[in-house]
Amino acid sequence: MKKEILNVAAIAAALFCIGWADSLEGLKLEAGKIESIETAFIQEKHLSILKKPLQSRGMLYYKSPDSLRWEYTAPVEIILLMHNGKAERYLKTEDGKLEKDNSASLPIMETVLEEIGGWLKGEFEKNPYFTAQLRPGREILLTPKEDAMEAVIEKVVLYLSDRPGILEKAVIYESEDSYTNLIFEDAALNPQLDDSIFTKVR
Amino acid sequence: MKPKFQTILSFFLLAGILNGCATLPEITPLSLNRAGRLETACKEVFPDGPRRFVHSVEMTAPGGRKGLMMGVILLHPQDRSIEAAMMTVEGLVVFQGRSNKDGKTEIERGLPPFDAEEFAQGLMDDIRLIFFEPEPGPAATGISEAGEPLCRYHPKPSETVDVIPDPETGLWQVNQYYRGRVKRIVRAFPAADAEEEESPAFPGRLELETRGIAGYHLKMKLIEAEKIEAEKIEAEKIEAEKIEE
Repeated sequence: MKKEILNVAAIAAALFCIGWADSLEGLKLEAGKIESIETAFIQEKHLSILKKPLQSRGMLYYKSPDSLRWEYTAPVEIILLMHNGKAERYLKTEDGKLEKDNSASLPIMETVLEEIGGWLKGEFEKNPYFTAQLRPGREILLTPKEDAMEAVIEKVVLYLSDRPGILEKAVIYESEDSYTNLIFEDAALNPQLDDSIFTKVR
Repeated sequence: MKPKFQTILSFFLLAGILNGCATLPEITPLSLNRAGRLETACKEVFPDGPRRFVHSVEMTAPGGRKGLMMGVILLHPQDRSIEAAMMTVEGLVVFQGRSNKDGKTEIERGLPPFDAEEFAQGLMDDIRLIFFEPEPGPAATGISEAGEPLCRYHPKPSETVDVIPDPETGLWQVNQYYRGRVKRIVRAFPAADAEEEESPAFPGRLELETRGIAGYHLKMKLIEAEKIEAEKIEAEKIEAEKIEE
């Protein structure tokens, strides 16, 4: 009897998981139930002049509706913070100090951060930059709406986890031979995250 | 009115004289034997074959604004060509381009403001100064007034480059002068975790300081270094072409 119940539960869970990713509305509904996420990530940059992908690691924290902390721990240390619509980036200098990054690339990264925030919220249909298309195998293809964005990012493919509301991998293509894999690992759903995580670098 | 005019005139004359006085540090020539050894040490500062480097690059712009990027460079010292890419830590490529031995630079990808030709040219000039031995070979070798052994090159009539090696510590410095005034300085430092099997030409840390109104400062930390065989490059090119097809 116990075994039968477990089997039924497993089938129900499988159906539920298929269900969560069978429409963009379903994705938004499930993502809407998520209050916060804490996950490790591995980033692999593929580029024609690199022999092997350049690997970076870090942690991502998200809190609904718009707070994000994107922290790289290796091979360099930088922290991107987004809270109440304001984005900041801090870098660890050679002297070991955390200093504000004011480089010219920051405006581009603000857009990227907004975009990641949108993915986590499951907001694909209202996305101002990309058109979303749900594909078999829990994949979402994002293609730029405008040429200006296409010059920066050719397309994005999101791979959804079988756990509702969770992203497994994102592949950001700048061109066929230049792309970035973002692989999310050990995601914790709805952990208690203090606001200071998104406002303070330490 | 007349005294004021004279004061202004004197100022400009003095400025002109001072500008004309910018001279290179004097060097005392070495014996032929020691000069030969020093020339070898200067040559060893620079990679002797194709290399691929990945650096983190901490930039300090005029006004103290800071930024951190990742830099990938593929160097071909034989034909003095360069392939380079700059990307954000998040992996977004803001610049990718190449430069041939004549210094002609081609931008393959550039996001504003990194799409400017001046940026591409400046980047390639910096890479060339840091990683390629100036041409032609040393015009002079000797000991500077500060007691440092150096090789002096004259790549252009108005340009002088002093290479100051220290084979014992692995430290080295390159000073570039334009009409006798310091224009750019490169300093190299070995790192504890630098590639052990490689020559001192693979410093763990590099610093570039440029002078002038738009002067900037780069601190480069070596992330990856790879010595590349010529056949490997050819094979990679063929592989890349196949992917493109």
